[in-house]
Amino acid sequence: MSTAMANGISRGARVALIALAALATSMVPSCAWVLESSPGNRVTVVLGPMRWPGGDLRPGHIVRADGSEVFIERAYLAWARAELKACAAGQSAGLSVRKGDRNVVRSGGAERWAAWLRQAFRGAARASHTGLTPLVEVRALAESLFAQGPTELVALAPPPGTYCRLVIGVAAPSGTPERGPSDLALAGVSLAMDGYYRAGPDAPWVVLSVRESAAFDVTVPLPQVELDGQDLVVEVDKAATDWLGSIDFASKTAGRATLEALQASMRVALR
Amino acid sequence: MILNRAAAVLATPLAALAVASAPACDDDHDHDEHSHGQEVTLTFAAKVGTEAFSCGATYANVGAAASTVKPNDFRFYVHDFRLVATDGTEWPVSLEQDGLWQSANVALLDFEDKTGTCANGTAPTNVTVRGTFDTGHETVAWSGVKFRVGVPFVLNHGDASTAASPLNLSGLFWSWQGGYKFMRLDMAVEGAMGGENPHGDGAGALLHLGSTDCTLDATTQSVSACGAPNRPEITLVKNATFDPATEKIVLDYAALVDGVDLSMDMGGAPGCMSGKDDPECGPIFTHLGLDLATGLPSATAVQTAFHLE
Repeated sequence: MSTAMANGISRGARVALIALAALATSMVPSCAWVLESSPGNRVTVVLGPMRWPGGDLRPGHIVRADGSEVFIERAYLAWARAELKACAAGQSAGLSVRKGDRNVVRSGGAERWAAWLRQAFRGAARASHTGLTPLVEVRALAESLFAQGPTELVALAPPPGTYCRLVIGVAAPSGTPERGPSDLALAGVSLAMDGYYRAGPDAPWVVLSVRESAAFDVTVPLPQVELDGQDLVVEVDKAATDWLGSIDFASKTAGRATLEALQASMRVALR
Repeated sequence: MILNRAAAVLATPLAALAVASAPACDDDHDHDEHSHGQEVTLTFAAKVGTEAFSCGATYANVGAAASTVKPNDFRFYVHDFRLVATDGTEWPVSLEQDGLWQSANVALLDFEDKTGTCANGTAPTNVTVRGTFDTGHETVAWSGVKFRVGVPFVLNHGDASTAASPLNLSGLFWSWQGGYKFMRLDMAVEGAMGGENPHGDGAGALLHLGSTDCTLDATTQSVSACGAPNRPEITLVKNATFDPATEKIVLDYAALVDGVDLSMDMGGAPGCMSGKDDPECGPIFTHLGLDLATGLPSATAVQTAFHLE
């Protein structure tokens, strides 16, 4: 401290500064201990490979139980959010995050300070529980759904609690999706699926083109899991035959049925 | 003044030297690092037998069952162009990067114009491949051209949604790492193969050529190889001189599906989706000079789908 500065600070102020410095020094180990001993829950949602008959990377040719056949060439699903749902009815303890962007807080200055204080005194895990409005970012889910290897969909940081469900919010983008193919008109489309199907081996192949605009929460049951400061991987497995095996693609409700069947075809493993 | 005069005395021979040496420098320039490419435009045409391709046309007597067909789509990717000199030397053609039809070493040829029965495509069309070749100061007489159909492996399995045009067309790729449809030639077939279903949206005769049996590297999560590349190597070489300015490279759909019964599907995926066990693919691969079992250029079959006119 320079002489000029020292001369400019009253004795009372100096006493107050010294006291604050001492207090701050004494708090540092305490805060560090809180953060180290209560690390945040990190839940990584991984989509396992879609299992197609034949094992080719290209979409498969499915012969269904009733003899009808489906050949899917491409599919598109737009998703806006992913969250874990707490077990207690009506208790949504999930945190909606943007893909690749964890613990995102979109709030005003006062809320940011409040969040910082909660983090400082309650540990990093609780800092992620903000209860914010879902951060909508539309992305193509189909690429992840159909990737041959496991693909990380999203990383969540929920607060401690017991969780029973994973929810992937499928929703139509209002404009051009960030990663949507440029010539696929997907504004207002939550699900697009193109291919061919036929009623049986002797029936003619006809064009399959499904477009759905409704939002739909794909809800996958979890083995009840209690999170209290650990890392967890939720791997979602699915089989194309289970998904597309019984959908009537000639129906006007084929889009909704496809979303519901996707939900029913998913199985979760924790590791 | 003395300095200026001395400078003038020095400058005169230096200028003369510079002028005298200029042609030599230019000569070195040509032969060493910097190419002075000559432009070339290769023009393609699509036909069905002897008739020119048009989205509004109907073509009779196509395939083994003499079917009547109407176009739905007619697009294919090409790459790796080489002009062939009369002495057999191959001169690579570097493609112009136009931001629309040509990117890297790949070009898209698009004959459908979204009119008539070609509902799935795009209005713009492209029938040329534009690029440059560099023979230095040599004057070369051409006897033909070579190229490959498809997209090179290094570009085939990327993220099509962020790829540069023309590799960003969703109608030309399988959207989950399977790669591009190198060739998409779809025809509605009158009275057969779904052409008369109640909705009028029958699949028709489909030809989607692309790589198959692709495998994923578990570490990188990217496609590491494809068991069947399925990229036809097209060689069009004449015993006479080939003039790129006046001659066209013709893809004849009738020659491509010669021997295929378009009136019915023989099994497997609809039409020919490049599968090894797809009955429709056998004759088509032969006409493209491909071995269906390996996806490599055939040791015995010579392609007959393309010719020069």
